[in-house]
Amino acid sequence: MKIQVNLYGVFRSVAPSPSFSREAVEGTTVKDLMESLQLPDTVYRMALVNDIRVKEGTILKDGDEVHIFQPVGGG
Amino acid sequence: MKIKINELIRGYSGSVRTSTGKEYTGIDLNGIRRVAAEADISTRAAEIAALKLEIIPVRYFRNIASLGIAGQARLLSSSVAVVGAGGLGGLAIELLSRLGVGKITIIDGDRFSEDNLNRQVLCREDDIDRLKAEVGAQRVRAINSAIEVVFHPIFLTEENAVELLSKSQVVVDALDRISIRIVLEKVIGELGIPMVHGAIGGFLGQVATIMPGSNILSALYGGDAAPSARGIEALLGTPTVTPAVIASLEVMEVIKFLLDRGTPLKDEFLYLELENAIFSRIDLQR
Repeated sequence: MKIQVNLYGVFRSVAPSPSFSREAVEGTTVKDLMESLQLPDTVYRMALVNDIRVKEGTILKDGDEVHIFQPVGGG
Repeated sequence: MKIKINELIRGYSGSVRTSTGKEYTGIDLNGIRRVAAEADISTRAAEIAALKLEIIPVRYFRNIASLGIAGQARLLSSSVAVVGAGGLGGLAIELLSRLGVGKITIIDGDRFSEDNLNRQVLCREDDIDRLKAEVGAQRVRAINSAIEVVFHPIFLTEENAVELLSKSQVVVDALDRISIRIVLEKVIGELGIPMVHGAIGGFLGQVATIMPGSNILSALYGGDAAPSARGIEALLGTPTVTPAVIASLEVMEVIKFLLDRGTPLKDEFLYLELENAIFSRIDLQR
């Protein structure tokens, strides 16, 4: 299956491009995707799948669009 | 009385020529003060009365082509609360004062410290250890004496929030922790007023207008998916430029809401990566 990945902020530079389409096997979770991208786990990772905030255990489906970013809370 | 006020305003108004040669009928700061004193009304009421006569207080002239005379009068009749008077809040207070928002409420229990000097526009070297809310109120009065400013040198809590915010039409979220922002979001749901969320970390920032009950922040940060109380700012700090950009966008959201114009950032947030000049609008479904 194919998923669209968009990376933001400090995750932008971990892949050659911050926005790309990627093949994934059935059953791949958001966490599996984050680990395969080697996103640093020292930063809290947040994901939206098709514009809905999801937990890392969420199983991805063909055609899903995933945004991965980090919380911003300073003032 | 109304006739007398209008006569006074006309008497103190005159033709004003701008540096670019434009001419308009205006009334300067001194004229507004005289009208207020002679008619025994506030300077804010004098400014609103002048605008109703299409006589432009000179201090707002450069706003008028974009905001309109009616828009400027509406802002002068509006009430905005700013929660947090630090990096974001200080700049929001500065902009709201110059914009001419009629009533500003400032809430912050903190005092300035030396490491605020890099970005907090209200903080000068002499202000270290002073209450941020009090310095903010002084700044408002110094910039625009027509504004009614109220300050509360206390931290917002779930217990005091409804009382502190109940007289405002919109709240600017200029807090510095995710957990208290979620509390604010809950409270504005109870009050039925929107909040404009802004947050910074490093050269990253985000902005959203949160309508009561839409609970965008608890969708992002709440429940099992809760991050620690602090976000990326714990790692990247809060450098000089970021608050100015985000606070400006927050005040723009306030303008859009108060004047019912433009396209507010509702059910989405703007995520800014200043270092790469990338601004993304990210939709968020509940």
